[in-house]
Amino acid sequence: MRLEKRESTPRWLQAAAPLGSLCLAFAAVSALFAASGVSPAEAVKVIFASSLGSSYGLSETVVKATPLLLMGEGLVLSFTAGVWNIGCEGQLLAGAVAATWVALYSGLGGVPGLLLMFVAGAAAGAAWALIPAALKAKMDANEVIVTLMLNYVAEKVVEHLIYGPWRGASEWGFPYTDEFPRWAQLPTLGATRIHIPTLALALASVPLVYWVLSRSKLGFELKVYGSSESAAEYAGVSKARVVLACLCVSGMLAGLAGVGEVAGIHHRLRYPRGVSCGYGYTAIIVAWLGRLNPVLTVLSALFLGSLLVGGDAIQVKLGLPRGVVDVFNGMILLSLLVGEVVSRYRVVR
Amino acid sequence: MPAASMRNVTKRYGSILACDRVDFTLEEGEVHALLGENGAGKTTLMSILYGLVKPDEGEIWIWDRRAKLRSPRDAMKLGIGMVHQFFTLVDSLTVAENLALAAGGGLLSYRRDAEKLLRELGATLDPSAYVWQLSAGEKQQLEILKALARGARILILDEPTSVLTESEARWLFKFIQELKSKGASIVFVTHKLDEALAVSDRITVMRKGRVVGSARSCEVSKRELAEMMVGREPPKARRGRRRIGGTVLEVRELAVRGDRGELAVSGVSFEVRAGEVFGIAGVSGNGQRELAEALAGLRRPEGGEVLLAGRDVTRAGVGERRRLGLAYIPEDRLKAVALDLSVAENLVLTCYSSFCRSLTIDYRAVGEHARKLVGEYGIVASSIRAPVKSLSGGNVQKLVVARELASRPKLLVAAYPTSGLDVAAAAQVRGRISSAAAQGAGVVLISEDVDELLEVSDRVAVMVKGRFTGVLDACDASRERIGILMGGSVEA
Repeated sequence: MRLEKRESTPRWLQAAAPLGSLCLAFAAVSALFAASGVSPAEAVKVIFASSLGSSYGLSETVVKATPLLLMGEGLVLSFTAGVWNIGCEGQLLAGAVAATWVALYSGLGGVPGLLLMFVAGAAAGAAWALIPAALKAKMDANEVIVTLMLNYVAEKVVEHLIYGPWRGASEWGFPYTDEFPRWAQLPTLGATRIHIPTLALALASVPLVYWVLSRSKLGFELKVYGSSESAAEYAGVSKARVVLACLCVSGMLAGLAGVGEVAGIHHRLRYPRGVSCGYGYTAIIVAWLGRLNPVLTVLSALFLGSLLVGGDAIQVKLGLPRGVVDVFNGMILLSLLVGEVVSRYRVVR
Repeated sequence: MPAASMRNVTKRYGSILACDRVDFTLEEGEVHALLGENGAGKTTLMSILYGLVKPDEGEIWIWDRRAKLRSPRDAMKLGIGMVHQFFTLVDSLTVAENLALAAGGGLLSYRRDAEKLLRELGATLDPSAYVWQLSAGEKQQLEILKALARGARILILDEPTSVLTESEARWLFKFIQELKSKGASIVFVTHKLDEALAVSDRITVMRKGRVVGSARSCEVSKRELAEMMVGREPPKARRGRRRIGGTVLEVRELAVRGDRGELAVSGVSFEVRAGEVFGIAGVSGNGQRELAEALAGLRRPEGGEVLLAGRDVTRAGVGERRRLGLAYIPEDRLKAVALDLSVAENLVLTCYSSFCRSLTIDYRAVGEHARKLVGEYGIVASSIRAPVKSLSGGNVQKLVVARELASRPKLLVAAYPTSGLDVAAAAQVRGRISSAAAQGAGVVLISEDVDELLEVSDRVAVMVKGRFTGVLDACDASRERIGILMGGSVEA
């Protein structure tokens, strides 16, 4: 028995591979639950009952899915071109910092202030992503490493601001900035925490990314570059253009997600892990689980959003550590990658 | 007693016969050169002897016993070792450690074992030197030692000098003689006449999958070997002369570096006029790829000038040259397609800008374009939306040719455009190139197939070691003259 490369992956397997991967991830996490003395069935039930079983749970799932969808769409674009942006976390924080500046220090207010907050957040996210983009385009620096490392830099910048110059006068010494003024707090849907403008942007990004990939000239260039760098060079597709476009767009969307988190949820800039809880990393899984398809990515964003909500619930109800959710996410990505490889091969006797 | 003999061995790849009823015998203690152009079937034949490739028909006998070789492991057990063109060494380990990796050996004694092996074989390597410190010649020697450490008594060296400088090659030849005197039987695969004559006792020549002759090295001349390599059937009837127009490509003293930093093209000058096919003959690896890439704008030249349609494009990129009317069929067709993309998308890969309406691509026009070309060139694909990776190699090649010619180029650079195609498809591609020239394109045709060059070209240059050793008018170029020039002699 040996593995042989398939010439093309049949349609049923393309659909079965990610589902199989999910089952594999569930199996692995079930083992973890059992080892911690919790019945896996009970734990899975708690996860999904809390996130999907009530209107509050559902609304929280949408809250978590909003930044995931924004960044997931950017990553769909970027990963299609084979530009591996692992730096959404940092780009999100850059957007959050810019929004905080607009909210607390720009002297603006009302709708212009709100608009400037989003524009500044998008620009900051894009600018943060421009650093690895320029390094890759000019010097062929590996974007995986540069984007990843810049996440830590962004965290340190945020920490510096909240412990230093931006520490709030009214926060009793906590490492928070002051609360945003009313105009800088995003309107929410009824009594939920769903912040409408960000959700609207996230939903708008879906057809936009779909259009770019399926119709636009840039999308064609991204697909060519993603399929083969040498073919792109041969076809005269500019590498710099592709790299800059991918990183700037995904950085911009991450920046918008950052605006949403500080202006829509926390209403202040706070400790980096408090602002984002690893959305930038989870978004990578969102894009992969969505098979780099902008429409399927909506579903995968909701699914991973529900896992994050469920993760909070098993902490409270079953006394399991929060890290379980990270393990879950990691297992999903790992099994997805395995599934990806396996579906390209078949077993031959 | 022959060390190895292969009888009536046949291997087919699809419709192509890589080896056609080949008989090959390696006597004990001889150095036997297997000579032929690229694609003649030498490597396939030796891969069969090494168990890497299963023959469709034929028998293999090793030391007078019928052998069944299912994998290289079986071949190694029978004492057969093969050294490939490229190195398979661990750079960060020492010579002795690499030998131990290949052959096994005691945890404590492997250094002594290595020293003993090196001394016995008269090798000059330092067992404690790291592989990254070795020259290419020393690495090649270490590869051979690895095979010997595994117990090989029959050694297959596949183009061992392709990555060596001339002095390293001479040094390798001495080492081969040393091994022969110790009783090893060696097959030396090469496409270089001089090397075959210098190193071997006997030479077998292959052409297009068949053995065309075998002779003792001391009894055969370079000229006879050249004739055997390229064949001497009468050339086919020439097509009528085309109307030759103004100069479309002018190359002056072009120098280009290869991937290893060596000067792959050194001072080549020529002109191609509209309606003319300028053929470049020569065994591949003599700078043709680098020349083609420099013409296409994929490789920065070291010196010299390239003028396309009268404009200096020496520093211009691919895109700019394409706008001036360049089309390029590269040697490696997989570089010319995006495998994950569809047939239709690949058919506009190099001209997608002309299918754009401001920011969008007009996919309906792309589809029509694709349907037209697929029909015209007989590209076999399940649909124009099928990914190119689902196509066979020959159809990928047709796709590339179709796309490049559809742009109605002023200049077409085609490197080995018919390699891997069956006879009918190859004839079709040659016809297309001819008619592109008849419609006024200047063509640079790089090929190893002398028949093809004589059939299509108006002039033929022969390239050896980065230079033209001669430029012949196709009317008075004969296969023999081309063969001699390919062997490295310079036309007076």
